[in-house]
Amino acid sequence: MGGRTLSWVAIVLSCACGNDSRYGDGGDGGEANALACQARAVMLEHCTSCHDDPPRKGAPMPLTSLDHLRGQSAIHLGVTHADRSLTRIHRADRPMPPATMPSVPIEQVAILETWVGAGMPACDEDPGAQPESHPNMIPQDELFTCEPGTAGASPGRVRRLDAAEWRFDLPNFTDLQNVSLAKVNPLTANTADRYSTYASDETVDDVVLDLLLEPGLLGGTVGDEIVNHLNALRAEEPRLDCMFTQAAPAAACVRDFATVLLQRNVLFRAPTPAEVTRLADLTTAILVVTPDLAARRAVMSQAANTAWLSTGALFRSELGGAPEADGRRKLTNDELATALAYALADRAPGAPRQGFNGGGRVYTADLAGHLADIAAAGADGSIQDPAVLDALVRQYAAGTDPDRVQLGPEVGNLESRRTHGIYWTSDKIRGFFREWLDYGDFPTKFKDQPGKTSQFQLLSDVSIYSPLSTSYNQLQIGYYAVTRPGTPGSYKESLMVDQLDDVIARSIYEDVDVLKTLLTTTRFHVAATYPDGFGSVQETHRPYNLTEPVPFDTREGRWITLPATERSGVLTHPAWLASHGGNFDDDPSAVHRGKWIRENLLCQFVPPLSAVQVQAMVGPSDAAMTARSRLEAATADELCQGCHRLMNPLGLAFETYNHAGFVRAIDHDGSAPNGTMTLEDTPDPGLDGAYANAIELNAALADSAFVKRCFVRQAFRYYMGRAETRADACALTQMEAAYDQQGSFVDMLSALVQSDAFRYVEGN
Amino acid sequence: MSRITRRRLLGGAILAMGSGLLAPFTRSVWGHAATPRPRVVIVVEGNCFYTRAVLSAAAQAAINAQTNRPLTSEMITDRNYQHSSVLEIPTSGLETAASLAPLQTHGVLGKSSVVLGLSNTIAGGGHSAFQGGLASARGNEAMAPSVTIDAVLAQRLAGDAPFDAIRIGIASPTTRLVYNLCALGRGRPAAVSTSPVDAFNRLFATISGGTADPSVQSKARTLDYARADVNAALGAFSGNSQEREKLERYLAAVEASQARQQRLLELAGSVVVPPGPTTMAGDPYLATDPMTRLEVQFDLAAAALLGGLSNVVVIGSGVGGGLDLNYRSVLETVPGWAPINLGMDRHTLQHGIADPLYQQAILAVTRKHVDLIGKLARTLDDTPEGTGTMLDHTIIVYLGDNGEQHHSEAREWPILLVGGGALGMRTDGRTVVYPRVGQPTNRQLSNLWNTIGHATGDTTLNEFGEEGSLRVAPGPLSEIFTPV
Repeated sequence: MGGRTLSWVAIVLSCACGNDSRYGDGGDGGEANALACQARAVMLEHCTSCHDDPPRKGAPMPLTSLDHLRGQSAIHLGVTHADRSLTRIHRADRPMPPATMPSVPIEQVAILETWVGAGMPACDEDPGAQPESHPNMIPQDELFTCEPGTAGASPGRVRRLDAAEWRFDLPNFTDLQNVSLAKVNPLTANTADRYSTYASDETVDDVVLDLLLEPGLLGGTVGDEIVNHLNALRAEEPRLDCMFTQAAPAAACVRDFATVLLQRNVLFRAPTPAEVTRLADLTTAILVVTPDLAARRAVMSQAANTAWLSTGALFRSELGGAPEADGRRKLTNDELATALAYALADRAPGAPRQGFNGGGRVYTADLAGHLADIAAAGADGSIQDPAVLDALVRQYAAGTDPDRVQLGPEVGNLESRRTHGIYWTSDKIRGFFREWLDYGDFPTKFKDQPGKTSQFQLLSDVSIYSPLSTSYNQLQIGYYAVTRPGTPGSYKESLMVDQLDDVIARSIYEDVDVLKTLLTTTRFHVAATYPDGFGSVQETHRPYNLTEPVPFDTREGRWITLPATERSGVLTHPAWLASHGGNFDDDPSAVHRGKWIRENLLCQFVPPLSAVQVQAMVGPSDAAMTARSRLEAATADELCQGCHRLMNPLGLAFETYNHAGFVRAIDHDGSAPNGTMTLEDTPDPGLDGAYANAIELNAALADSAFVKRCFVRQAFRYYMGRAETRADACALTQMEAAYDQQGSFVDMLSALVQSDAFRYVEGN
Repeated sequence: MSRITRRRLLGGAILAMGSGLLAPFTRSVWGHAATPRPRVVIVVEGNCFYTRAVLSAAAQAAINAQTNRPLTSEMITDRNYQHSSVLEIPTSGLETAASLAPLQTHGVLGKSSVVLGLSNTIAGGGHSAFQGGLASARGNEAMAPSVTIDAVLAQRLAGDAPFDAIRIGIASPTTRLVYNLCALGRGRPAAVSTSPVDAFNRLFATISGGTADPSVQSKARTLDYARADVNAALGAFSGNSQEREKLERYLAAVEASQARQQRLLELAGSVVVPPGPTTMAGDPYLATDPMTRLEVQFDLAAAALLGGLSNVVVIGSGVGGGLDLNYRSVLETVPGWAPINLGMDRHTLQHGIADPLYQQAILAVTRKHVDLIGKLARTLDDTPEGTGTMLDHTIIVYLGDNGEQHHSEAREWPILLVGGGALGMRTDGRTVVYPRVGQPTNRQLSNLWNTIGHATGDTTLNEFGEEGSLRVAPGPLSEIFTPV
């Protein structure tokens, strides 16, 4: 398949088939070219008003390019979109174009048939053509076809740090138990991107700069903390002493200060001489107006704040070194170390430790900083060795820690951290699963009567202060700390998002058949329950359908094996269900859940509402109607089904759970909960068939090789910070091969960072 | 109450502010008044003010005429509403409401209105709905759900003002920034500066200090450094144009900030700067009493508005879930309040709300807020603009950040409106009471934002907020707004 595409729309504007000099004979010969152009004209006349790119009016896929037509149908394996187009044109019961529109005249049908029969030759090539607007439009098998000898590379980029990366590159920012400058800062990633790592358009605009210059950030506080860290570093960096002790530091002293500041606290690499000079000059200028030794910390603080406005601090570069013979550029040692560090963590290589009060003074790393071995490998160049890359990934990917220090000041004291599982994953592994499964925003999801239709419905009256509602709110955002008998002080149990994190972390730590485990596990981590006066923490086990309190006296007691008839995997976890559920128990949660599965487990394209231009709404709530019946009534129309057939069946399997993730005991209208559905035309024929509920569906998804490949693609997107293209087929294939050995996520990630796509950038 | 106006300042008069917190300070070039411009001031009291605070006797009578659960002295009133169509009480005697007397003191009663019954359940409830009030979206402490109304208005109303919006307020003394009241968009918090010292420095330091001021020099050095660094990075850049643009946009931001610094320096001759913070004992900038700090912030806002520094101001008071404010200066004025309880914080006060004495204390806290609003309104109303006054072109909105009560369900968000008459706001002493939440004729807080959008020239805000299917009816509230 050629990488270039041919835009039908562009041709409409500029080409009268075969007569425009821009579109002369292609490589297929004049006759074939003429046929192709005639076929294209037919498609333009009858198809692309809906099958536009992106599609409109409910059409499920674009048919605007030759790639689209030659590509495999996402619904019918082994059949091209062009084949399917002909099939639908001929169907009497579900014709295309729809019956309300003019049909394709028989002579034009013949043109299409002849063209398809001739192997779909190109009309011509359009030099202005664009690639697919969404990676899910690329037929999946083409992404796993690696041409031997293909040299992979990624586009060269500069990426602005996101909020978490900036925050964790700073040293001790006091003991942050609450929202503050470092927890919420203006470098938040653009939510328009699928994954926060894309940083596709982020920069420091005037608003962000304005906020960064606030007195609480680079206008003051950050620099003070950096100076504290530099002071601690004096044991390792004695050349800093003169700045702290000499009334009139010499130029060399100032230069040493600038060098250490940039390397250990700002750039996390050896600064260039020009960078050192620029900061040393600035520091000298500040010293001129503030010469007193008593004010020296303020001088250094101001220099540190200012240094953090440098491009090297706020942006990370992936532009590569000198071009190689084939034009590609290999990432420099520093670039590769930085890329690896941020692929694993929200920290730069060597980012400073952070301290907090958590049962005594606790530090998140030693003085050498986080990811220190990656920093060292970048400094000595060994980072370029694939074996070193592999070892570093394994070193920092996952592990166990009884004290869960890496949870940091937000979780706080030791007792609170010990309500979490002992298993940890790196920031970016946790981040990937939070963003892929899209449950990180669970705390923002408003749920009316979260227990409604569950066996605990009576605990969930209309007041948000019912025991169940307050406990649910506690699981969302946390508020009340509790006191455990025999333990001094108070502490907090883990939140629902943390509980799903823990389930995933344990699977990653074990690292065998990870995807299958995640889609089928019945082993959940939950909060202990406490009978307290507020009711806020006494019903926190109910979302898991537990009738007995969860003991708080053992850590292992928070690991619960739930009935296999009720839960199966992360898609039945309350955090996921609620994140992809509506506000009310009879809301069409099935649409949200089905859409997520279609797009993120089957990697298929579902046109957004903005593309189909319909006011998608169910009818009013009715005591006699379930969420299922409201949804089916609202989407029965054929036009609606164009999209909803992609979502509804998948989502309806989860109708045995309510909008907040509770197991339904009875449905909204008093009937028995109903999760039955039938899948047709899925991209994996093995998935087609009837299902009783989500338990059965998840088991089937877990066994699907097609789903596994989609999982690989999603990981590629997150860790590469961009969508995959056909040019990434070799990297994807290597990831899949690594994963296939034993289902190891870490193996797969290691394969990615060793791939050309990760280590090389394209020539300019 | 003595006042400061442009006219008087231009005439050379220097008058004492009523409370004497800050010396008289505001003055602006007369030319600012020549072209009226819409302005919006949003005052947000953290953890609510109660409907009782703004419910006049006439409004209560109108409500009681249509309910079999008549109100007596309840702090929370919406559950008693049984009317199905909106109640309009044209001359409602606002001064009879528990906390609105200061409007009469400041002479702006006839330019004020009260709006009751607006719901905003999308925001969620609890101690605070965070950005949920100003965004008409589900509030969240840690992440902004969507753009808040102030940011939308700021973009439209900025004009040539140096600041598109000013966001200031108070929190506990150790908190300098609050990030969970305002937002530029989803995940893009807009900081509220809760330190009067920081606010002064940001708004006025450049104007007052001029190029010789150390902080001005420091900021200039910082921006010069950033500019040199970005230019160096661009000079060595080897990537494509799309990536290069990121750095070019950063450079543009640095240069824009430098330009604003320059603009502020240029304004030095036309804006009289309020006295800045000192290290002297009793300096209101450093007061432990939050209401004193809040009064400083109001004065800074007044100075900024008169000086044309911005056309959108948000003043947050204990917003973002901070419940540790101690209103000693207010509690001292409550008859019968025990001295031993003068150190009580807001959270404890609120939990004692069943006690009539505590109710009086809470109502007094709200009354103090209204006093500050009244003083600001008076200052603006004393300043001619166009054929009216600055107040006529300024809409002041006062609301809580979570709805009707301490642990709110966001069912009702009582609103006080002042000013904006020239923009079409029907702030003529009326009270409007919409039917309670759940009624088809209930209206929502988002409708108020729609209304302000229309009043300030933006008719595209009818769908503002994240309510989606929860929206009752889009568009402005005709009972409080008539298009001009």
